[in-house]
Amino acid sequence: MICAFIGIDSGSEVLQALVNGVINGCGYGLLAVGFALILSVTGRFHFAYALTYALAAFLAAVLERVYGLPFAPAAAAGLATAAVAGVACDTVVYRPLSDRAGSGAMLAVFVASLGIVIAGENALSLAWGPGPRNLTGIGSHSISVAGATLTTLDVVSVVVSVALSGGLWLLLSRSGFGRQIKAVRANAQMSTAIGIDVARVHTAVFAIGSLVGGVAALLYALKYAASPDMGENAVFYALIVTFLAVSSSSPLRLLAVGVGVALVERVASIWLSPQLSTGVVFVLLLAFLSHRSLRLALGGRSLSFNLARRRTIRGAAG
Amino acid sequence: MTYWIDVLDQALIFAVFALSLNLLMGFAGQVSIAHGAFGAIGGYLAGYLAQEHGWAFGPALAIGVAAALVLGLIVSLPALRLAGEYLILLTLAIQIITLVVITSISALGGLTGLSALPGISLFGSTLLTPQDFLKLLVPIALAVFLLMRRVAGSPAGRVLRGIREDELATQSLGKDVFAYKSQVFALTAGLAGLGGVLLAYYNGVVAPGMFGFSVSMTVIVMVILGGSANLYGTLVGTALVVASGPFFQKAIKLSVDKSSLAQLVAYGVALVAVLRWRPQGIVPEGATPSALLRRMRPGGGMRVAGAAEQARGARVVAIGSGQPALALEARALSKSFGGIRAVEGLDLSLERGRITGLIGPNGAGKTTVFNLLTGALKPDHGTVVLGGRDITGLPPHLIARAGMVRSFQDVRTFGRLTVLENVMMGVAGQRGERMRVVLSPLPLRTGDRRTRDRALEWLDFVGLAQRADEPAGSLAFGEQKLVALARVLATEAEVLLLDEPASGIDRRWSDHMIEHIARLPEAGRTVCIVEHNLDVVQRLAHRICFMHEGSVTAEGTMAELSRQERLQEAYFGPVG
Amino acid sequence: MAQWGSEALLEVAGLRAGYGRRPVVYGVDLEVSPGEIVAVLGHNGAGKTTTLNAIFGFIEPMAGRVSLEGSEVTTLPAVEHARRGMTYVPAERFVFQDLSVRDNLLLAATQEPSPERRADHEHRVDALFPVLGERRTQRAGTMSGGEQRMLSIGMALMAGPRLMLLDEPSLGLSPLYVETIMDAIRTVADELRVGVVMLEQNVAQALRVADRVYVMRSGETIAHETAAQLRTREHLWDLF
Repeated sequence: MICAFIGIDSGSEVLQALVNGVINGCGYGLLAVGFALILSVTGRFHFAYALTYALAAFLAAVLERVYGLPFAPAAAAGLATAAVAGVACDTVVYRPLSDRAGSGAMLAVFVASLGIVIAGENALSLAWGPGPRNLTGIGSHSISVAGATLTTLDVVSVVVSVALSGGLWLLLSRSGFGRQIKAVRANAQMSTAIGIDVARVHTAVFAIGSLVGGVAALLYALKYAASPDMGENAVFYALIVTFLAVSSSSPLRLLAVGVGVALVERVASIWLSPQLSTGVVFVLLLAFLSHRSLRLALGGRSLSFNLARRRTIRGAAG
Repeated sequence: MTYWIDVLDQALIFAVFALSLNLLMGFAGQVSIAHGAFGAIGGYLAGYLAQEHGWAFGPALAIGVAAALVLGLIVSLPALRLAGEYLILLTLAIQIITLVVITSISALGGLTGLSALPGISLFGSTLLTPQDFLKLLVPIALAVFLLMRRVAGSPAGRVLRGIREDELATQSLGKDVFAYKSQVFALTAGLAGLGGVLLAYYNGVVAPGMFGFSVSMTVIVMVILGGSANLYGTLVGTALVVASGPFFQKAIKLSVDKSSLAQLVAYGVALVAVLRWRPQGIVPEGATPSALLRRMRPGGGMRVAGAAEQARGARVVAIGSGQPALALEARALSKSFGGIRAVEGLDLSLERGRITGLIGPNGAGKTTVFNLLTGALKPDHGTVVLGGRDITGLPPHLIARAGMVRSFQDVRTFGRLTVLENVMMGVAGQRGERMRVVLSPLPLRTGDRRTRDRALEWLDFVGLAQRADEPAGSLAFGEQKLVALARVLATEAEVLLLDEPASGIDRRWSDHMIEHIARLPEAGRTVCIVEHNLDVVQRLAHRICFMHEGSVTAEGTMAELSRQERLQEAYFGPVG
Repeated sequence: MAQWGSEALLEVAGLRAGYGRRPVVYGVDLEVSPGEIVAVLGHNGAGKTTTLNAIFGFIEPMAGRVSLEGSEVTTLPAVEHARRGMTYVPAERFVFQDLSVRDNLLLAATQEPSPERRADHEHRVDALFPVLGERRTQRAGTMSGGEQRMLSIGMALMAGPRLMLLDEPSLGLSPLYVETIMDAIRTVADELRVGVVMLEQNVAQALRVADRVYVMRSGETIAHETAAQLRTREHLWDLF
């Protein structure tokens, strides 16, 4: 009776929402893993993540359909392009910009990355049309688990997301290079002081982050479709999950928060239209920002008041 | 021909968007991606009222603009304390949410929007052709330009630029920064709404695609390409961006669809290129016709001789009899940051007309004290009494107006403003300084001239009058410190808290600085300086307070203090 | 006084440095020999940290010369300085807080290619600071300030440096830890013949272990004496 009161048809509807939430959430989490890695290690607000994301899937779809490549090389080419594009954003645009801009650097980088997105997405549309294009990689069929339906592709997506996040976690915590990445993330100045080439770490992180985002894009495109502007929505999710997770150290934590966000979205869609339930996610972001603002107001301070200016130090790749 | 008139009409409509965004972004420094959304509010509301309820153009326009203005005001509330990336994210969220909400309201036509807008009837005739629309759009665009120019050129516009350069410094000079920010957000949102209404009626259609993320980005490109903080530049930027349509269609012969894609590619590339190689844009800030004229006039238009001679050296602040001997009294001030007691039970008093020094080892909490006294931080306990009045817990701009201002250790001059404008920002009681100036038709010339003269006096006092028209950021650090000193002096506040006035500059400059500060008591000021350079403190301070671990533990002259062993231990470390 | 030429480990001549276009240090000369501890004293904001940053290459000097063992390193980036045997320990944020003690030490050995020497350095660190040996797996951020500082000195040793640049090693520490740290620095200088440039506010402790002292004020050196001479001064207020 309670169910009818709040408008749910049956318990299975809730189960389906939960299952969908987990599936989508792993996707959101994976997105955030790539984005958060770049943000936390390099400090760059890499909005052009939206472009590298779309590049991976859209290019793969084009190579598959227009040029007849089989899935595996097409996907590999898409991922490689995404990685190269991500690194290029940093070396060609962000670094010279932040060297020049000094204290206004983060803002200039953000606005520049917006420009990159606009230019890149529309260039893709110009070259191959606005899509959407399907990606036929691996066959997929429906399965039923305890009354909820999903597809084998969904299962693959979840496994890949968890595996990739876990793999990244292993890289960071067990390998020498992973240690260097964590070092740069924690303290870029000390890292330089002990001889770590911070620029090289930045390049690697941009490549890894773009690859992770690219995989998320491929998984999405396999299920739905690929289009040049598919990244815009995706990067918003990446942003939301990254901020809600606050501490961006752990890929697994980001995955969990991603699932949380997706669950909220799915549950909301029981009552709201799909469009509006997406809006709920942005309202979450809005609420987060307003809460931040309120907390600052109560503390008598503001995010724009930094009472001690930071200095530019070479080698800290600021 | 009609084709080009159409292009012109579009340029005029977008000029409304771009000019208002420039005021918000270029002048006030608030980066916003929500301009398209505000346009959507205006366009959709007016369109809905006109199409579904038969409203006439005038009333529909008014409601559309008002709604956008109100939304801008609401959005500004969380935006007040956010900056940089967080502000962008907030405006991005607003942009997305607004459009999501609009497209999900079926009465507004969902994804297809409203497509049967009635025409506009003006003075009997209906506007049908692009030529007809010129009659409406030219006056409106011109009015918006003149309005923006008035605000930008007024003292209020100067405050907006100060907010852009350094919000904290602006607030510490007595300006209510939050009020300015919310007012400029509201104003520019309302104007974006106006643009939205015009766009809707011009196309006869309101659709979500007209106000999406790409549109917000396009307007940003117009502003940044043309030149931020330069309204003439915005006109250039708008013209270029709108002309790119015909360029791609006529010159490169792309189809209309391909051309719009190519345009967006061009905008993105242009944005990155401008940020990378010419961040000031095509027409940089300050390159206005009036500025050029001023530069061509002999002497650069400065009248140093007349005004400054009269009050050579200083403007004496009157000390009335019957005022308390202590200009400032702080009692039992305490402040903790998450378990760390920065300031603990601190008593500090400043004798009127004297210079008091505040010294102490690193980490003793001296800058925190200044922050507490001036309202940049709220004390956990304790009181601050200024000239007999309790000012504990007041925000920085009210404390500044009550008669206590501070300078900053890292100087915080407004780099892109001229030296003179920096000092003018400090002058108290300026007319035309509130955003209300948009509504008032009164001329601002005479009031501003008075402000200029006063500012020049102070600039002359510190010996920098000849550098008045140079951008403050181009001066040597020592000179910037003097500009900052002139700036706080211009507020005519009686109590001046100077944070490390002699740090970061060589001996020649610190001697200058000491010379100027030493003259302040005879001009009726009460000064407190925090310094690590004990030589400077000794030469300036009548009385020195020694601060250690959060409270003042000793007072006296340098000679008295240096005789005390425990102070020596505190400052230099325990002898082994 | 150290002699010029082959003896000097670090030679700094006419150093002029600052941030952006604004110089903060105007013409500083300095030298250190192997096994020598040189203290740089002066009030806050005198330019001590800027000098150190310029020596290590975090900022490029505007004028002047920095040489390490005879070869010029003035314009090289900081990473190169690390590779040539210089280490730098900042005043704040001097360990990787989120990483374990072991990871911190391993990272600090990035520039030490030989595993045997690395093990050697580790033994030495444990000998100097036994508490670190017991806390290998503990997260650095959870240790006390003094222990973190010990770790930072240990990290500096892991690369087998010839020159150590220390920015206020005693900052924020209790007197007991300060003594331990200073003694350790003296031991390192004596046993390993490492040259040390130490910026300090804790004058008394610095004078206890230093060989020579430079005093800076407003970006210039106003005094250069041996520690012994400075110790005999009646009071130090006029130097600050």
